[in-house]
Amino acid sequence: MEAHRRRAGERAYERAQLRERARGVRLVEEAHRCGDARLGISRSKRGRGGELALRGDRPADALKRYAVEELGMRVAPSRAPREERKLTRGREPRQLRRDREAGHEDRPPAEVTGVQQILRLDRGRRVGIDTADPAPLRERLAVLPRPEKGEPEMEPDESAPRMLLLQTGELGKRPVRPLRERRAHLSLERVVAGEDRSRLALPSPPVERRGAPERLHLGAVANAEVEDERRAARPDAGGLRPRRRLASREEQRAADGRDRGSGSERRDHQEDARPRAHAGDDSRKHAAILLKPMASYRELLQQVRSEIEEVGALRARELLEGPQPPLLVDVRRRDEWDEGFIPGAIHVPRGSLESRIERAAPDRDRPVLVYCSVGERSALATKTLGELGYSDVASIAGGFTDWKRNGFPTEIPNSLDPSRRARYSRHLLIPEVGEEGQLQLLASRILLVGAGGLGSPASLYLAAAGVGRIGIVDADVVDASNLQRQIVHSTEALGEPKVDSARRAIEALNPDVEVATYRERLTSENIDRILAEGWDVIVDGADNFPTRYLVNDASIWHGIPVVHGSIYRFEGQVTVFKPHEGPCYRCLFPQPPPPELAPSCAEGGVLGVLPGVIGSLQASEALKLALGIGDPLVGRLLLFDALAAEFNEVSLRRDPDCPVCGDHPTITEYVDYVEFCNGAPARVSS
Amino acid sequence: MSRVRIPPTLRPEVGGERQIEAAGGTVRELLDDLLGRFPGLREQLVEEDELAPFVNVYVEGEDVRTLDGLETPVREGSTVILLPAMAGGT
Repeated sequence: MEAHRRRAGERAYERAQLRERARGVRLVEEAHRCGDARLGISRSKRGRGGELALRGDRPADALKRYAVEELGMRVAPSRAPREERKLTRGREPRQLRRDREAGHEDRPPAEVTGVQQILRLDRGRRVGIDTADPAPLRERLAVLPRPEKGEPEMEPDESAPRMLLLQTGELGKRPVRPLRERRAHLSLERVVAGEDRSRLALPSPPVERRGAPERLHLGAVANAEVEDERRAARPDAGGLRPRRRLASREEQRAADGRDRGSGSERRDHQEDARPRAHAGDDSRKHAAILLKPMASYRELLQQVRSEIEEVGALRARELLEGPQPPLLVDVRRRDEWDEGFIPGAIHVPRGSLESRIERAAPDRDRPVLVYCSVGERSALATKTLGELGYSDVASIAGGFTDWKRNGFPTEIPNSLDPSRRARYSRHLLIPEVGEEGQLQLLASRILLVGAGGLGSPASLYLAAAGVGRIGIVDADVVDASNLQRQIVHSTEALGEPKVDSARRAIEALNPDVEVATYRERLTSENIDRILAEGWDVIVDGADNFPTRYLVNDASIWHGIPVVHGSIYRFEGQVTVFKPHEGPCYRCLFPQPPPPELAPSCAEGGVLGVLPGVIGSLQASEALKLALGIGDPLVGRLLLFDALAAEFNEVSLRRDPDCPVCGDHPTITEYVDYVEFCNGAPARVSS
Repeated sequence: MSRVRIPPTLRPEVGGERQIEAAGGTVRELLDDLLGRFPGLREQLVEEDELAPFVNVYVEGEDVRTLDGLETPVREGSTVILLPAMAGGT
């Protein structure tokens, strides 16, 4: 180490030049990735941070005086190299090059999160973890927030000792520790060469010798919680330890060996590739950052278990089959849940237990049974629930593993595959939708009457939302005059049947959607056939009264809610006609107006974006109906005036004398709607 | 005086106004005032001295048919919405 350090200092002396003092340039001595410390200038400017090779012949005094610290700590490898910061790559140490030549070059150069000491010109000393992210400041402690699968997740650790120099503030600057019941906490052993300490302008850091001479690591070594539990469940030598034991290199390697993922192997190799510049130099080591004494995981678990109630699998089954079954909560990870769960369980991963349990189990007096894979996470979760005020909580000892071993029934969840989870992630985040709701949408069927102004935005949004089956009834072809507002069609679709053009657009948007097309006018003759395919919701975007009344009557007889929308010039109306739960179109308008008093858009015109507003509102209502959430516009007519930028709402009431949905209906089969509408235009769409 | 919202299909009859002030203690009096000034509206709102079946009148958001019809009282400063059926969807 000494040699390295000295070499580094000499090189700095020869080449360093502080040319950018005025721009807040700092000297940085970086000790990660290799033992040959690099010298550079770090700009604190956001996005342009990075080390620049020092040139020139002016010495960097600080570097001469201060030792390098090599902190043997790794946080998490990231996925891809960030080459842009490695401006000093040309001066890689030989050792590193050799290792690459030895076959390491195929592995993605995972970034080692190194700890570096930053020597500012003002002699402020800071230790930071360099995650190789562009950062406004170097002196920060940050970890990658989204580790690769299998890697430990990190969370802020308020209880970890603060490093003397960290500025706390946002998360990235706080001490971190592995998420959940990991064994070890982030700990740093700071190695400072002994010489020249007296010349430091700052007070010396607290010095305490670490017990273990080996390089310390972040001890979160295994990627699976199951592994954690299994390991921790092993009878372990040694009783209470006053100080938390950190995973030694050997332990870590052994743990990595047990890991199923390949990432750990890679990590290990890279570890090996690091020169140990400071190893074996114990006499000069000073540990500046230390842990407070903590209980081990097993001690913690023992303690928790003594405080909670546990039941065996047999007893759990009895309870669940009893007259008042407790709420069963599965606190395992998503991937574990996906492989099977106890029937009737709800899934609340332990990581989000506190935030989500209230919604899942609002009644704190209802008995709750918690389980995980072997009964350890559930024990901790049980304690947490008790702290949250749940009065009757028990953990299933032995967990799901024991349950299965007893041959008790399990269930495989109907769940979204990863690509759908990604596509619908914004839905999954909404509690009212979530995975269950998204699955419901994927299983829902919505029929659009008309693929015109209203049908265009409605079809696109419903398709994007993942409505599993979308039916479109429209007899027309795409006309140039449509393109001002009918956004599901494009210029190249001119002359093409609207149903085909719309199908193409929907399929391009979301291949999850099955499109059923009906290139026909909706009539008394074909409507039963089309509705018989089983639609959950009809979105009515017709442009004429006969079709409106036909759809209304048929929807009542088929019991399908209709999301009604209509537009004219700058104004639109939206409402939901839910058979027998609210008024129908005939309750609202028992008769259509004479044609001369009801001009269509083709005659009176329409602002192009107006159907965008109204059709989107229809899509919103249709999704609510399909999901069974919210307050649909049943019995309410929403009026939108684009010119005034104003929404108004009026109440609609079911007419008990309505000829179709009233208490004593007089119309019980289809009529001649064209005649009924007194010669109104009978097109489904224009 | 109350504000009467005129739907777009009826605006040509009132010189293009979106909203007209009208006086009257009931819907009937209000409409009489309105139709007196804009006789062109009569055909589009009234059939045989009653509201035409294709027109709805809302006083403060409530359909007058569910209240007292044309005799529904209109308080000073109320908003009255005239709403004829609209079929346009494309």
